[in-house]
Amino acid sequence: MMRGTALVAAFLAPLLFPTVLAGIVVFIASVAVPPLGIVIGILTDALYKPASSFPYATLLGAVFSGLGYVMHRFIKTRIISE
Amino acid sequence: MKMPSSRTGRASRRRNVLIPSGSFAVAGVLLVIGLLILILRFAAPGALTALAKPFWQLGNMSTNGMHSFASLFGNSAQLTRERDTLAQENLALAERARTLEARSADLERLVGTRTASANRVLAGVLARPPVTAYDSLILDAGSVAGVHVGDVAYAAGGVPLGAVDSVLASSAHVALYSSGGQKTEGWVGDTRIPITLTGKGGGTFDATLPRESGVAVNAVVYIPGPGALPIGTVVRIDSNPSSPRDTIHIAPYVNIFSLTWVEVAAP
Repeated sequence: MMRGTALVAAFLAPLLFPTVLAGIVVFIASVAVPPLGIVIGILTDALYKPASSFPYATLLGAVFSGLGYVMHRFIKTRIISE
Repeated sequence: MKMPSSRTGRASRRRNVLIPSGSFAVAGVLLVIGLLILILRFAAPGALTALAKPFWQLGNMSTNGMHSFASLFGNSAQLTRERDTLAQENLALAERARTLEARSADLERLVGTRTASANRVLAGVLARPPVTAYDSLILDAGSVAGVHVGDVAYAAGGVPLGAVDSVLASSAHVALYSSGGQKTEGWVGDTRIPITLTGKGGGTFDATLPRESGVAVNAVVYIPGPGALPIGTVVRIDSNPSSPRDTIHIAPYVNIFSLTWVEVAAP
């Protein structure tokens, strides 16, 4: 249920929400499903990146995925909850 | 004899960070989706835009609906006053526009025109900042409608916004001049001091110029086009005593966050 909600919200975020809000939604979704960050970053660059621009969204998505993976592992092992 | 607790066994297993969770299937599916998006981006970019188009249109409809809903809670007397004020301003602006058109026609008769009127394509804006990253616009007109790479997008009143940098059959991508880091040559003030505008995102620019240039707040900023095209005004000037140059911050005439249509024409 949570993963499904995170997936749907993350894929819709770059299409419906302002960029900053979409980033927050994607980061939160990356904690639940870590690879979402880089996938949504690739999607955002595919939709909006100018031809000559650096793919910042993909890079930021990769950072979100990395951070999300670390937080995901800690939550799973309940270190944070202790 | 105390029996080993299954709860303790499960807890010790969960607390071991070296044991992977069962999410590899989801991660695998997502990575395949990511690869598909990359392939579509280069092999069939129109497919991605076509898939996204209904969601952009839904977002626009939702935004318009929320505006209409919110207006129901507005003070009716205040709204009436605002409407009357705007109607008067509109009349004044229409009169000024007619005056300027007449002056422009006189000047053209005096000095002659250099080019014929441009063929302009009217395009709806599917997505705009802040939804789009990189300060860009997605238009619903593409090569079929006559849009080409390098064409310039103009807002109402002929204010230039940016250049088309990629075109598909039924959509186009416009990189706004205010995109972060984008450099555009232009002029400022009545004396047309040359400057280089640097996009700062959100429709704004800044530029540097010598401190003794004498540019003041509210000076008009122009970029090249048919003549000099005004795009905004100076709203703030930052001076640093240790630097011989001032930094001017420029606000655009056009609110890029509420664009609904643009005209696209050859530069």
